[in-house]
Amino acid sequence: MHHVVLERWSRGTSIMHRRDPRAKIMVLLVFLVVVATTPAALAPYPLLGYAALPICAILAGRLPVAGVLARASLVLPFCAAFAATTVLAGETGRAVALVAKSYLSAPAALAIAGTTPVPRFLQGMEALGSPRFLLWVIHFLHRYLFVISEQAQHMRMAAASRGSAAGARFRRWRLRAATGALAVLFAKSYSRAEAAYRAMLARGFRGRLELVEPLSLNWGDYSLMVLGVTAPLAFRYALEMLA
Amino acid sequence: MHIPDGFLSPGVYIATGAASAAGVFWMARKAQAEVENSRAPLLGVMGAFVFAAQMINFPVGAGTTGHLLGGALLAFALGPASAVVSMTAILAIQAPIFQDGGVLAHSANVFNMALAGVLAGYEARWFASAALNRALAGVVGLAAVLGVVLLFAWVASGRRRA
Repeated sequence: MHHVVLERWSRGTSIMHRRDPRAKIMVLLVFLVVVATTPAALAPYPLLGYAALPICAILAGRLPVAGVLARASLVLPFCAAFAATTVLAGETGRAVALVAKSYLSAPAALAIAGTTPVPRFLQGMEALGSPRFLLWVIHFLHRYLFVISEQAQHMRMAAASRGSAAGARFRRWRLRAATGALAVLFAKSYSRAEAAYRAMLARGFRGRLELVEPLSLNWGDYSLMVLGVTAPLAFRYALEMLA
Repeated sequence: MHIPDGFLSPGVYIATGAASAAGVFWMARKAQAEVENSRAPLLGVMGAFVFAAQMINFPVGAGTTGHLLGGALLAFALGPASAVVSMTAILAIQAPIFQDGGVLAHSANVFNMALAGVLAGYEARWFASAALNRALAGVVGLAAVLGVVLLFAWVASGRRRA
């Protein structure tokens, strides 16, 4: 399943995995801002040169490049529709820039998500000042996401094997099956949350989550930050000089 | 589908970023004060429910299917502040892990779906329920959510300069 792959990637021990999450988040944001603010008029095709940076990060993280790029292409169908209308309007360069910018952001995000386990990532976000309560909610959401999604899959399959996928004549029945399934899923999720909280209390939860490994920045993290900030800025500068 | 990166102009990023950051910080503080830390598992699991519920599509007509917009439902189940936190958490997971929406565009997506989606559904129903019967009020709430979300999405995409 989708997340299992990303989860397995994030448990590696490469040079990227060992970097501090704060450094990785900062580098990602700088890269995305530099890409987003590059004017489309500035030669759309060289924009693709930015892709070298996420690819370097993916290689340094020992992630499969083809796998990451394929996963990143999930954004393409959506922006392809907009790009098609832009091409029809006669602005091919702008369409290429639109697709390139949307597509570039995904491998960059995956290079970070694929080398940082979610708890570690949230630890970094907390150190950078995100509200702790929100991060806890994200933590639990990530933990239960696949449990409940799987339950939803089972219900969908059960409904389909009882004929809910039949033709348009039975639209009312399908709607009925879907609303019933949703209601049951809602009640089950609610009681699962209560059970999870009771289990936490039973294991000595006292109102805060303790993290075992503290964050610390070392020379590797500083070099990543210097490299990750200067490389996209230098490329952008080169583009503007050439234009 | 959520807004990916590369679609919005820097002005839209800055405006929605400021609005979303302020709104989410305020709502997170409010939710924490209202419900205490013990509710973090509940908010997370209900967020997971909304996420999973999107898999159960139902026919709307003319070959398209709709999926649940969780914001208003969460607002009624947990309260508006908790619902905003929960929706923000869902979007925060969807952007980097499922490539559904961009990382920079997260601010715009939070603004559309977490803040506007939740509050439009919740407040509209609250106004309507005083005068009309409850079923009608629910319909009004849903229509308001769709209207507001589509309006913001339209405004955001209209201002795009690629």
